[in-house]
Amino acid sequence: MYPRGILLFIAVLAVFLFFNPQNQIKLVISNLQRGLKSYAKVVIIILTIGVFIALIEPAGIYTVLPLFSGGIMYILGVREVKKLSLIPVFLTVIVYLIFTIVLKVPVPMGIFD
Amino acid sequence: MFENIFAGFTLLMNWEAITAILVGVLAGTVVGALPGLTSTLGVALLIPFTFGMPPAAAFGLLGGMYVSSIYGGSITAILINTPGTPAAAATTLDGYPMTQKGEAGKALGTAIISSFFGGVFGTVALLLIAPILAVLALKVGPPETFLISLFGLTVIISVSSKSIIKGLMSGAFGLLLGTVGMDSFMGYPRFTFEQIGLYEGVPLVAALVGFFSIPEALTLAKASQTVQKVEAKIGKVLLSLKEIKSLTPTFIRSSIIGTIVGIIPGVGTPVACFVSYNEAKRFSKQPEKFGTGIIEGVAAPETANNAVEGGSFVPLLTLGIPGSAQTAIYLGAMLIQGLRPGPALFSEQGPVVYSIILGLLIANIFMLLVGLAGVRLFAKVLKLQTNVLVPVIITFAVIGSYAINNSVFDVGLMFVLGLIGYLMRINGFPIAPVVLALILGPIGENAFIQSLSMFNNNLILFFTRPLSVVLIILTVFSLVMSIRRELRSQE
Repeated sequence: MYPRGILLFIAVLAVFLFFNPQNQIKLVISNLQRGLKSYAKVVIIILTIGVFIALIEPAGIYTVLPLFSGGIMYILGVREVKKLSLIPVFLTVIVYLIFTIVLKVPVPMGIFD
Repeated sequence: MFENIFAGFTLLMNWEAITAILVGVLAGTVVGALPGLTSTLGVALLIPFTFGMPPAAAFGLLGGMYVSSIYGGSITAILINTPGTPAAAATTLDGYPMTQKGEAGKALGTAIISSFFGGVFGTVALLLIAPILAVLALKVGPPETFLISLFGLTVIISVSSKSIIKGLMSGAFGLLLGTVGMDSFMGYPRFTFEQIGLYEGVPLVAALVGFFSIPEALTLAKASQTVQKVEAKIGKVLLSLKEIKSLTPTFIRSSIIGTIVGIIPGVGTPVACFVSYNEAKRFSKQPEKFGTGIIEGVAAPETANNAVEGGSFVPLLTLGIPGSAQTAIYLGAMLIQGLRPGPALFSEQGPVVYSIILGLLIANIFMLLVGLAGVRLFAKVLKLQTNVLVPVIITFAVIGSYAINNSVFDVGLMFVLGLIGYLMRINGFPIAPVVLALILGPIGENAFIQSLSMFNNNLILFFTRPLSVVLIILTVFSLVMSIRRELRSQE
């Protein structure tokens, strides 16, 4: 009863929003003007994050993290080999120190388990 | 009482206790700042370290962690729009816009000073009038808890920014998310899709991390295509005396709200923060500026969330009822140390009890010093280029979500909610109402059903309880004034 009531409330508000279209139309127009191309990199990053999450348990966070962070940096336009190799390793070491050594928070170790 | 206070102070005046408090404060600041790691987790992680310590040092360590982790959540809330703890969700509303205006230092400075004020106020209230405040905790039953939740939900109007309809839809979506899990009264699963990970409902921390960090990371990633380097301005840190004077009414009002909410078991820190924000906006001469990046918008929630600490110890120490997850862990620590919380605690173990309270006071002082000293260091995050910041945010979001229940399911859920949050963001739907309703929905629903049982389904009996009547009037007043104010500002 309670969840159905909430859904009904959302439906009523959606009708109001439909009949108050000014702001929504402006948003849709501005999104369309930017074009789907502007979201292409975002979609690639979303897929990359999905792969990262899928691999952290079987492979372990410390195996996948350098590849993931380097990959994201590459997608975002970093091309210097030094940056692409050192920053992901540095990030992995920082994460290891904070979570595994200092805080002793369990993280998926995967192949190192 | 004063003899016990002095004896408690004496218990703290040794290197072991002072060092323990300082270590707790430093660790708490880091834990609070990391999205996904809550103050509850931080306090729990420190429990094993307290086994061999004398009580004053043990509770000093835990107190330092509790106090500073609540403040620590504001650091990432302000700098990268990702609250480190649920208590800092309301701080993003004005904290991040201040960073975008080049006033990150001022936002962080406001947060630390406000946290200090609220923390000291709550602790002093605990120190001086705990038994009187305990009476309030006893008067609150399911009807009052339901009405407090309803009152908290009226804040949605205030944080809906540009569109009340979209804000209400976001809030309703949050309520819907709050129905996921086992129905505690009928005992059947709702919207769990046969996933064990959803039987206890949507994990709040995973939702918080997902709704804030993923949209922020994706927004930064998209913006990095056109803007290679974000201008990283810190600005001045310390508030002027004039600014502190202008904030004094906000400090006092938010401290009172935070302390009272802390006293009521089960309501939670985020409620205090959002209600304080709403009240600060209501009493402000320029309410339309809230949400654009002003110090009042940071001061209100940050004062309240630290004032909750002192209040949450009232039911624990006087009645033996933990008022929050953090104090529930404290209860465990107290039993380990041989203390029995309850009405006789102050008379039987006075010096130790007062050393706990004074330890919180000293922790607040250390938190202020560490916070002020560390502002420029924390703000160095802004100097990171977007193409480095994005993987950092996502990394901490993933690990933080995993750390809750050691489950990849929570990480996946965090990600899905994050994608929903991103879609909401690009279509102008505010996120804060979702989080607020997700917290308050289950509390309100359970309290309402308990109230119906108490009243034999006769709702008129709500009006027979004095505190309920006061809350009903406050709720209606808050709703009407909020709608009126928002409609005026949108005109």
